[in-house]
Amino acid sequence: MAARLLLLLLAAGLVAVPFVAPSHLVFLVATIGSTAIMVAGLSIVIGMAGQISIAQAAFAALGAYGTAQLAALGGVPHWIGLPAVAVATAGLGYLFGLLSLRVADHYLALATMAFGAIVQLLLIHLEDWTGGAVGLPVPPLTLGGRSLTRPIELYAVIMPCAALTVWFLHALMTSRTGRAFSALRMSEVGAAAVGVPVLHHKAMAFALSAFFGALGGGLYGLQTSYLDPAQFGILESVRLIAIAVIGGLLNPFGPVIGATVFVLLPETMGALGRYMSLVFSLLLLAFIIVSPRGIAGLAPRLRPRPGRRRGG
Amino acid sequence: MLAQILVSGVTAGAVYALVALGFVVLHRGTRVVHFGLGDQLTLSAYIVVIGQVFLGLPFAAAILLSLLLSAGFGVLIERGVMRPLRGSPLLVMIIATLAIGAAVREGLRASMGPLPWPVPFLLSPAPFTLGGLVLVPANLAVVGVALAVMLALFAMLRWTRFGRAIVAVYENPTGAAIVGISVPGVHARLWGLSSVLAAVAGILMAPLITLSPDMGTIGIKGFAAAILGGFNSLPGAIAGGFLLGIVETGAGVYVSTAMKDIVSYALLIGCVLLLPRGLFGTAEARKV
Amino acid sequence: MSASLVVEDLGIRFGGLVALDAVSMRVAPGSIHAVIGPNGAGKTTLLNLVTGLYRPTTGRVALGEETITGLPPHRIAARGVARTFQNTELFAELSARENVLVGLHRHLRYGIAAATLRLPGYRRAEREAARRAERLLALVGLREQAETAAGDLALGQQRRLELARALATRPRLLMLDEPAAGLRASEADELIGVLRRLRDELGLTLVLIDHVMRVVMGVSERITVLNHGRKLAEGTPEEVRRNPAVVAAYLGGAPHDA
Repeated sequence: MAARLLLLLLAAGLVAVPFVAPSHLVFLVATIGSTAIMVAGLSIVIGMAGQISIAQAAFAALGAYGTAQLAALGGVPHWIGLPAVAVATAGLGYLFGLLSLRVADHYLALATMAFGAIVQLLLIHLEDWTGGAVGLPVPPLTLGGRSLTRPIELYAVIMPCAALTVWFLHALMTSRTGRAFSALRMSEVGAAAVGVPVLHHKAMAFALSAFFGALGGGLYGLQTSYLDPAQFGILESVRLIAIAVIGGLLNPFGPVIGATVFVLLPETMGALGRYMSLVFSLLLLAFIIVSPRGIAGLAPRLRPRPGRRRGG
Repeated sequence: MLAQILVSGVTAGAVYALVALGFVVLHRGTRVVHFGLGDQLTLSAYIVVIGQVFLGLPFAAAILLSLLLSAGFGVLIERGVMRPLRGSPLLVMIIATLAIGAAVREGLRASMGPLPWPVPFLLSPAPFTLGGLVLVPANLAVVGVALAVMLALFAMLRWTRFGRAIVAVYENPTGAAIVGISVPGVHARLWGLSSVLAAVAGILMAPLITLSPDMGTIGIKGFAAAILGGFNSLPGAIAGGFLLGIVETGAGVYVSTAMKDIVSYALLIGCVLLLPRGLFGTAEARKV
Repeated sequence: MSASLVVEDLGIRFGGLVALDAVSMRVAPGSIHAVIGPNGAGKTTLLNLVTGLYRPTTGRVALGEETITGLPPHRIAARGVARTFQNTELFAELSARENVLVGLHRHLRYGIAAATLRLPGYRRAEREAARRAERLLALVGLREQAETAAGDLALGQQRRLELARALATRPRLLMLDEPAAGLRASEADELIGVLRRLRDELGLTLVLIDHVMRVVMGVSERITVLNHGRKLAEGTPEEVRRNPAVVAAYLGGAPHDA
C-alpha cells in the first residue's frame, strides 16, 4: 500500500510539474522521460535477457532520423511516423537478434558495437539523406495545424509515453515472455529443454530494445529539434548502458532513476560540467566494482557445490 | 595500383596488428576482452604530447615515459578493477572495460580539449618514389617499428622467464599454478603487456591520423583484426591486422574513402557470423 | 500419453573423436529404461542427441511414429520430450515457483499485448499456471520452498525442482541424467518410488542414466549398456548383470563406477 501511495504522489507530482516549474525544468523532466524510454530497451535486452547490446544509440538514431525525414521529405506527421519507425526499427532489431544464433558473449558485444559504428558512419556519409556531419533540423510535432514546440507541450506527449514504458516493463517482467527472458539469461540449455524457443526470445529482446530505443530517440529528437551524428555514437550507447546499470536493470523504475541522475546531476555541477562524462564513467566503474552482483542479479551461475561428478 | 595498395595497406595493417595482439595477448590468459584498449591507445599518444609540450622532454624520453605509464596503467586496471571482479559474469566484465574506456576518453576530452594535437613523425612524411611505388619514410618507420616490437614479443615469450610464465598460463593455468607460477601475477603482467602493445600502436598511429580523444575507435579495427585471426592466436592476430589494413585500403581505393571504415566494420560482423573461429584460430571445445 | 523412443544407428563425432558410434535402441511406451556405462561411455551424449542439444552425424531418432532427428531442442520439447541434467540447469535466481512456471511456458497462450493490458485471457492463464505450479511443487515436496531461489536450494531439492520443471511441460517421454548421483541411500529409495509413480500414474516413458546400481537395478525393466561410445549389451537387469562383457567393462574400465 505504501508503494501505491508513493506512485500516486509521483503521478500527482508529474502532473503538477508543468504548472509550477520553470520551463527549463519542465524540459529537463521531459528529457528524463525520453532518456528513460531509450534506456528501458536496455533493461529488457541486457537486464532481463542477459544479452549485451552496445547499439542502443544506433537504434535511437534510426528513430530520430527516420521520424524527422519521414516528416520532412514525405510529409508524414510524427503521430504516425514515430510509431511506424519504431516498429520498423524493432523489425531490424529482431533480425539483429537472430545474429545471436551464431555468436554470443564477446562476439555479440563486438557485433553490436560494429553495427553502432556503421550506423553512425552512414549518418555521416549518406549526406543526401541525413545532412551528413552537419546534421538536420527536426520538423516540429503538429496538432491541428499548430506546432507543439514548447517544453510544456512536449512534456505532455513524452511523459505519458514514459509512464506507459514503465508499466510495460513491469507487465513484461510478470509475463511468460519476461520469465522466458530471465530463463535464457540464466541457462539457455535449461530454457530450451523446457520448450522455450531461445533464439526467438533473444531476437524478441533485441526487437523490444530497438523499439524503445527508436521511440525514445524520436521523442528526444523532437526536444532538441536538431540531429547530428555525434549524438549517436558508441559513447552514447555506453552512456545509456551506464544509466541502465546505475538505475537498476531489473527494476521497472530503473531507467527513470538512472535517467534522473544522469540528466539532473550535470545541472548542479556548474563550471565542472565538462568533467561530467568522466564522472559518469567513473561512477559506473565504481558501481560495478563495489557490487558486481548488484548490477541486477547478473550472476547466472549456481553456487558451486562440492562432490559433483562429471562424465557419462 | 595493386602494389601501391599493398604498400599503403601494410602501414595501417601494422598498427591494427599491434592492437589485435594487445587484445589476444590479454584474452588468451585472462579471458577478458578489453573494450577500452582503443582508448588506452589514445591515452598513450597523449602522454607523448604532454611529455614533449608540457614537460619539455625530448621525443625519445616522452615515448619512454608513455610506455612506462601505459604499462603501469594496465597493471593498475588489473589490480583495481579486474581482480575484484574475478569470477563475475561476462556481462559485468564487458561493462567494466567499456567504462574504463569511456573514462579515459572523457577524461582526455575534458582535460586536453576536443581538438586534435600534432604528434611528431618518426621519419620524414615527405614521399619519395622507388621503382614506380610511392613510399613514405614515416610509414616505413611505422611498419619497421611494429615488426620489431612483434619480434621482441615472440622472443620474450620464448626466451625469458617472464614470457615462459605467460605461455604456461596460456596453456594450462591450473598446471602453471601447481608449478609455482602466480597466475594473478601473470594476469597483471598481461594487462601491462597488452597496454604497452596498444601504446606502441597509438604512438605510431597518432601522427598519421590526427590525435583526438576519439582516436580510440580504432580499437574496433583491432577487434576486427583479432577476430580475423581467430582471437586466440598471436600469429593470427598479426596476419589479421595486415589483411584488414590491405582490404581496407583496397576498399578505399576501389569503392570510396567514405566506405573504408564501413567496410572494415562490415567485415567484422561478417567474420563474426561466418567465420567465428577466424582464419587462423583453433577450435575450443565447449562443454554443454 | 506415453510414447515409444526409437534410436537407430545414432552417432556423432566431434572433430576426430567418435563420441557415439551407431547406437540403436528401442524404448517401449510406458516402460522404464536405463542407460548405463563407465564414465565417457557416451550416455549423456546419447541424451543430448535425443533432446536436440547436439545434431547427430549419423542415424535417426523417432518419438512414436514421428522422426525428430536434428530438430532444435525447444521443438523436441514441444513434442513431449523432457529431461533433467546431470549438474542441473535450473534458473538460479528465479524462485522455485518461477522455475516451474517457465516449464509451463508452452502451455501459457497469451501474447505480450494481453499481458500489458492485463486482459482476462492473461489473468485466467496465469491463475491456472499458478495452480499447476503449486501442485507440481507439492508433488516433489517443495511446497515450502516455493519462493526460495533455485540456487539456494540443497542439491537434492534442486534435483526435485528440475523434475517438477520437466513435468510442467507435460512430457510423454522423460529423460533423467543421473538423478540419483550424490543422494543418500534413503533418498535413492525415495527416488525409486517417485519414478514408479510417474510411470504408473502419469503413464510416462522413462529413460534414466545412472551410476547408482541400487536405483538402476531396482527400477528399470530394460538396460542398455554403453562402452566407449558403442552399445555393449542390452537386456533385463538380470541379463545385464550376468553378461561377461559388461562385467569386464566395469571391472577393467572404471571400477569406482560399479
